[in-house]
Amino acid sequence: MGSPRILFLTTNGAGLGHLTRSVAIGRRLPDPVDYVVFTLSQAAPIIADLGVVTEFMYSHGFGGIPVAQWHDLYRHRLHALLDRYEPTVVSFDGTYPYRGLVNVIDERPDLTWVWCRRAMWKPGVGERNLELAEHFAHVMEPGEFAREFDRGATTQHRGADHVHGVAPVVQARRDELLDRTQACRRLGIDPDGTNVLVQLGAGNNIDTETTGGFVIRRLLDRGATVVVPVSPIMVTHPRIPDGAHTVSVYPLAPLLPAFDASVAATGYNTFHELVHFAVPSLFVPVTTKEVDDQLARARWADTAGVGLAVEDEDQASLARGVDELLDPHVRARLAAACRALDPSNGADEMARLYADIARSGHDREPASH
Amino acid sequence: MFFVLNVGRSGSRTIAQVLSQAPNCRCEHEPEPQLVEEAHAYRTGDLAQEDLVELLRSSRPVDGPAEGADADDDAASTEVRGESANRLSFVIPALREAFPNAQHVWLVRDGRAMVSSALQRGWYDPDRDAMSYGRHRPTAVQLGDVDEATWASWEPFERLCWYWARLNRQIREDADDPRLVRVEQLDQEVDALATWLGLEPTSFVVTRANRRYTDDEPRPPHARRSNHVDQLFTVDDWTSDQHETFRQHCGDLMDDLYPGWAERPPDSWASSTAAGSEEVIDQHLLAGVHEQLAELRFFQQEMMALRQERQDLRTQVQGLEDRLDACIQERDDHHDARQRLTDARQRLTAELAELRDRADDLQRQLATAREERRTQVTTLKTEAAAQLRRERARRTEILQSRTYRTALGLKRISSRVRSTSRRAALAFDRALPDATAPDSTRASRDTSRPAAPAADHALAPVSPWAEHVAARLVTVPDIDGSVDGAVLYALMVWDPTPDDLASVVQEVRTLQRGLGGFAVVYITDSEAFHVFRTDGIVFEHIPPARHRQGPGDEDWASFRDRRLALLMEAYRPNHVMLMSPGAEGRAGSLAALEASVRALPVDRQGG
Repeated sequence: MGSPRILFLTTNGAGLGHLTRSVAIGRRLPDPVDYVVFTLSQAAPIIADLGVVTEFMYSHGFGGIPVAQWHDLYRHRLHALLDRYEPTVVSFDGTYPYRGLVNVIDERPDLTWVWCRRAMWKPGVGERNLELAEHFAHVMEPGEFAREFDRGATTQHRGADHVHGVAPVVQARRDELLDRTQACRRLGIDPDGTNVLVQLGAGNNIDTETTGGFVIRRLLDRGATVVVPVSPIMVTHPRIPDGAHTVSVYPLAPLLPAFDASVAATGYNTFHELVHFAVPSLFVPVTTKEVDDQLARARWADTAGVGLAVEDEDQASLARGVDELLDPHVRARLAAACRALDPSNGADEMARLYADIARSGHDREPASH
Repeated sequence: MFFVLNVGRSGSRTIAQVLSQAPNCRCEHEPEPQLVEEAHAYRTGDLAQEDLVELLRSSRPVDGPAEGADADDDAASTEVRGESANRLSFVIPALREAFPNAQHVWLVRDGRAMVSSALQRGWYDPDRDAMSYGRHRPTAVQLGDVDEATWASWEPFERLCWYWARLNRQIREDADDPRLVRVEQLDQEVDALATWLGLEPTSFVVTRANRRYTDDEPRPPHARRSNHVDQLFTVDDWTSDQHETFRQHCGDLMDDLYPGWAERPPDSWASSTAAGSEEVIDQHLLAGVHEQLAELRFFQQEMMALRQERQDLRTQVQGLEDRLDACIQERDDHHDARQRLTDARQRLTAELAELRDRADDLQRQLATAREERRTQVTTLKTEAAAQLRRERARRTEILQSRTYRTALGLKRISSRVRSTSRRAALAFDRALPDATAPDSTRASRDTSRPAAPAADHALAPVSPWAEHVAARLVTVPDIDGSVDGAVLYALMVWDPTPDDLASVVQEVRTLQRGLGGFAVVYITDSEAFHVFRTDGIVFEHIPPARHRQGPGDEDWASFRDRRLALLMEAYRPNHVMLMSPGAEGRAGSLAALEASVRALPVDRQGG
């Protein structure tokens, strides 16, 4: 019998959010617990390059495969991976456990199934999804700084015995951050300049060109150095105004010290990275997301004074936000407010919880064949 | 509306009383505010005309319905309002601005009689004229006619002469086309005057009001006490100097107003109303009767007004009583409503408590049901796990059975035979100069990896890997999206560069468009997912050797073969082919694929 092992299953989200969170937990698992990732995300090779054992399958709807057949294929594949890697815990990170997955859960009761379920759902969305929680022995809820603004369906399930909440999960550790000079050298920018990171969504299903282009031009006009991260999974690269730098790096967090400020959407990972590492930010929430209540995060940040927020993407509001962000006094205030928050990283606590579950499941009679 | 302008001591009260005898006239004598100080201030420039105009408009009633008449009753007569007061004569410009449509009556009296009367009243006598009227009487100095020294040298008599002449000239100049009325001839002129003012025809009785009485002519009870004097002072009592003084100041104006005045006494202007009458009537008594009648009419009008006011008040009281009743009723209604609300609230509170109890019960039932279900699920899972273990044990038994091992061995032998014959064919092809055979000996960049498995790129039967799966799990659509009848090719592409992979995919798609009828699933270790993602091409990724860090000591080739077996099981392709991605071998691979597709029977269906 080998080491206790966790198999992380992730969906094909618009960004790398689910994958990033799984890796954030996996890399913190204490020895001898190890992990494997089975993902539908096109970013699988990127994770694999980091040394993570990664398996990939295309997602439903891809290639015209009928959805019912895809679920059968997923079930077939997952069974094979369970046989191969013999995990004791299987963790699913997504908002909706698919039918193919649920079938395998029912067929493999010898394993411990965990649902890693981010909160901050839009009100009235996904309430039926929560009924599927009964298939899972545990529900892990990555924490939210904006918890008090959460109006989604998951709030009704907090407090149950099998639901475990932790602090916000951030992949990078503080000791992994480069110093400003090193980070700027990696990016090819001047450490003495006012460097601004602009990341306004994955760009796969959101048109960031209009808002992003305006923000970038405004920043450039005011003498800032603009860096735009290009996601490795973006199908089409956005048109970026001349003068802005692009970078395709994953993970980006170690390079955050290079930046004096950021203009960003409020997806889970981006938002919590920026606040956790106290990067003064102007938040422009993406409101077209299906489930994620980005608007609530932005409003909390503005209310709590840890960030600026623009809700209406008209040029006047964006211009005001950008100009305010470039005020060094404002940035100092925002950074101080961020540093006053709880510095703990939920990934550490979640890794401990997973390890405990894995060990307790591993010590049981193995489901040998 | 009309104003009787005069200098005072000229019959202003008399004319007011006389004109008020008309049913539709109400003429007041010196009503409040009397404008004593205001007129003085206006003369001296201390009160602006606009302020005086506003005061006049706010304090003087205009023509309107008679008191007690319905304001909406068109048939009700309109009361003509008038005022008779000498102070108005000082403020005519403001009066005209305030009431531009008012008529002006210029009431005059023989200057000699006026001066005598005023002198007897103490006008301009500093010892006697100390009241407000006296302090605010105009002086020639104020009006700029003489200097202080001259004015100080004038006796009250001379001052009065100046006053009579000066003010009457002022009236003549400032008034708006005034109608001249001599008080001495009021009885003759009153009818015409009334017609001019729009009054109803009336039998006016002209009596003299405000006249003086002496001990010789005692004051009747109705007369004012202040009209009693010790002795009358008339023109007959004037000195020659006084006559001269009067002539100097007033002579010209007297010539205009009272022609031939110098030869006639002041009391000669009056008409002899009693002359020729057969009835001898005591003039004083008659005058008194007329006075009393006039006052009686005045009081009658006052009483009518008071009666109307009383009626109005009664109506008001009734209205207030009705409102009070309504408020009481409203209060009672509110009280009832509040009581109903209180009852309803109590009822709802009780219902809410009951519902909460029911909700708690249901919650408990739900928790119990969930727990029971969880227990059931756990039991079922445990049973299923046991069943699964039994099935696997059975499977192990089968796999370890002699029968299976024998059959497997035979199959392997058969496979080796086919493999040997394929290698022979390859060797034969290699020996030929024909370059159509695929370059399966191309050196891999990773020389430590074993060579990729060769594929049967001639027409081949269904892959032996698919034997264990009853049917395909997925049906890959062809380039047109059709899932019916397409022959499925599994194309393996190992370790290509992204550009080579893109070229392979592009050229295969060109073949698909041209030939049609076959679907493709790619199997590759390449990480250039975007090549497939752009057009939604089905592909399976097998982690390359540098990434695979799975458990155990399994080498990559074994891992790859096990994964291929899994994929064959799921897709059950009709053909499996190896595609050389490099420029050299790619043409051969594509040619082989094309040949394979072209060799497919027209009516052959995949599956």
